[in-house]
Amino acid sequence: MSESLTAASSKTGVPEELLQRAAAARAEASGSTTEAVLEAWAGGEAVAPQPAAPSPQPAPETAVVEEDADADAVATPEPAAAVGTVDAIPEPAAPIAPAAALSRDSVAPVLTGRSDNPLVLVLGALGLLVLGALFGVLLPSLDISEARAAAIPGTTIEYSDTALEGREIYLQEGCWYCHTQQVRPIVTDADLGRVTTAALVATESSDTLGFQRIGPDLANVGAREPFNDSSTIVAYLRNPSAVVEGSRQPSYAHLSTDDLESVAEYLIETSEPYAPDDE
Amino acid sequence: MAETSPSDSAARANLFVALGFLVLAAGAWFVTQMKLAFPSFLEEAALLSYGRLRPLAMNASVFGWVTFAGIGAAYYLLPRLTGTQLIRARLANSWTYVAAAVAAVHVISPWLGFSEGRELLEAPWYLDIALIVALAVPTVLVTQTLLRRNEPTIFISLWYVVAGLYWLVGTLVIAVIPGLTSVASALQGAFAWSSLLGLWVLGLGIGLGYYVILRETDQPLFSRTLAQAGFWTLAVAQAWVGPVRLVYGPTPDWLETVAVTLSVALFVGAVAVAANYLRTLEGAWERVTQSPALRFTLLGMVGYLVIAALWSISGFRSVAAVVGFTQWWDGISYGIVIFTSLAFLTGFYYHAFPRLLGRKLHSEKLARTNLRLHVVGMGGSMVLLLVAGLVAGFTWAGGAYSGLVAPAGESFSATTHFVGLVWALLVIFGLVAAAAQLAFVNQMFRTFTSGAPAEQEILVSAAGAESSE
Repeated sequence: MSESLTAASSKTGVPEELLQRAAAARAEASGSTTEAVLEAWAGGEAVAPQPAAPSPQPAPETAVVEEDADADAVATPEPAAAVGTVDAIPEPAAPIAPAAALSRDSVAPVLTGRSDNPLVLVLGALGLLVLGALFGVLLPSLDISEARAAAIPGTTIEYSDTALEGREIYLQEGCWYCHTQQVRPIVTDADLGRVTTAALVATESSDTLGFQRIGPDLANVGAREPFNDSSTIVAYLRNPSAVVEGSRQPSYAHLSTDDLESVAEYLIETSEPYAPDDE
Repeated sequence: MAETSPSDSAARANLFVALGFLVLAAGAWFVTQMKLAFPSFLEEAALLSYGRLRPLAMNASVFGWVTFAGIGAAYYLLPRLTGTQLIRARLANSWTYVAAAVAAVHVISPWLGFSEGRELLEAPWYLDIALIVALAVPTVLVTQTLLRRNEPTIFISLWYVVAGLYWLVGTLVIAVIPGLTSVASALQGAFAWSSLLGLWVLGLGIGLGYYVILRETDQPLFSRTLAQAGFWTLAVAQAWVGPVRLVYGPTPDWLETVAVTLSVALFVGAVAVAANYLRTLEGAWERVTQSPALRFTLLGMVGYLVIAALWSISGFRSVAAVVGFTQWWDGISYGIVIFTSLAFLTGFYYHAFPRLLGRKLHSEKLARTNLRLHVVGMGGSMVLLLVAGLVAGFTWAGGAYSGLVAPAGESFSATTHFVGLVWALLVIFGLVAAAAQLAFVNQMFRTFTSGAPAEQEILVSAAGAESSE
């Protein structure tokens, strides 16, 4: 026993004590002897599960079986990992709920069905992802490059250094989580000013387009009263409800005056060269 | 604690790390919901602003909780489904802590103000690359193990888990491609958002659901073909459907149309998966009453169906005109990451954790409480976010059509009165949701520390001589 145990332990890398108990459980499940199981494991062989003899204990069952009505399903009991079940401590364990679930783990999963090629799986999955990126990201970007070339003369925004700093703060503070900068050609957005097109924002950083309006759209905010004035925006960001009654905008008083002024400058410049009278 | 195999040690380490991220995410989600209802709450500090906490909650959920639970699940499943031990299991175990450190830095960087914009891609590009490297190692180890498997058939759970790891890493690689500006960059962000949530977060849950159902019921899978149909439907459609969130925006119309069309396939795939789950359960429904793992898995299935149905209809232009740019999409994101994925993963933890630890589940009663809190808290939060989106959308449209209220400037606050009530309710349900997550973590922690000894799986490679190192 000890030689086969040592050999199996060496072969499998599992401590002897655990291996012996696992082998005992395996032997009971397969109708074999512990010694035979250990010898098989030491030799790198599997022990096929055998029908359990009538016993008050529930017979171990195949744990995971795939069936495919379309496939020529052939049971493949081997090769399989031998899965031994042992108690964590020697004393008999009380039933664990669901008790049956744990006892079913005492045999190896045996799958039936076609043989799979993992490379097909990996390459197929990755290929579809890349295809989605090619047609969903890169191909449209070519269209948008054309839009960039055809950008409406005079609409390109030349941000000042202060405004660029403001845009960094806008990104850093996550303003875009609550504010979009894209006006849609639908009735809902009719009062929001100039519609945002790919050509219009061709030279813009897209990171500020946003996707959700918990607060209002800011694409043309600098062209609307009273926010067409930098000092008003700064005052609003410091104490929103003092400027707009009932506003749910949180205060950004924790930002420095310079930072607030940068953000205000950025918001005003995003609206240039648009003005409501242009429409 | 009983001894365990190196591969199970690696699985256990990852599952523990994931729980840590879940606690972080639970707290961040709750405070963000507080901030919606009470915007002046804790407004003195930048770190507690909505714009900082929202990415923390989402990133901790996706790149922390789900990702490490997924890696742990892969390490757990591989020996049990391939007939071979995990390759270089000790490296996998050690690497867990390296990857966790990288992920932690990645997750908290937007919270600290290092943000490049775009949901889930806020972290600076160099941290994205570090995360890609950190996640590439387990992906390679999993692949190597799969290539040396002894079972010729790869069970469908491994399809989702292995492909999911590649989708996760592949999406991050595509997302860091530089040079895209303007709308192209927005599309890059939409692609990444859709792929990460649909292919990784949701796909992982679906795959683990198959495993839990079969193991807990001891039933054979109803149809492998149907399972593959569900898998490939998700694989084909999901990477395309991100622009659905940008309908009517400056994105190309043809791309929006393709996205809307393919989003219908998402629901078809969900029906295939649900039908397979339910037909597999036939004759074993009594097990559902005995197994918390099964109950959570079925809850995840319901969430998957609901989310797929909502996503499928949201892109239709008549629907998008109302729900576009509203919190409807926040509801869908929350529904995927928290309600559905967490249900699937909780089911997996309830199944696997006791087996890994050699201990009984701490409390059946707590498991039932956990389920109720999950349904009420997270289900309620998801519904309220969807309702907030509908209310806002109809209010904006009504205001525009009547000419009474414009959703812009000073008058925007007039459109938020009723939404404000929904947000107030969201605080209550958010509190219940946080309690559900903490109840789950407590269940796992107590199972680890004081669960009664029970049977533990000891995996022995019989067919080969694979070294664990």
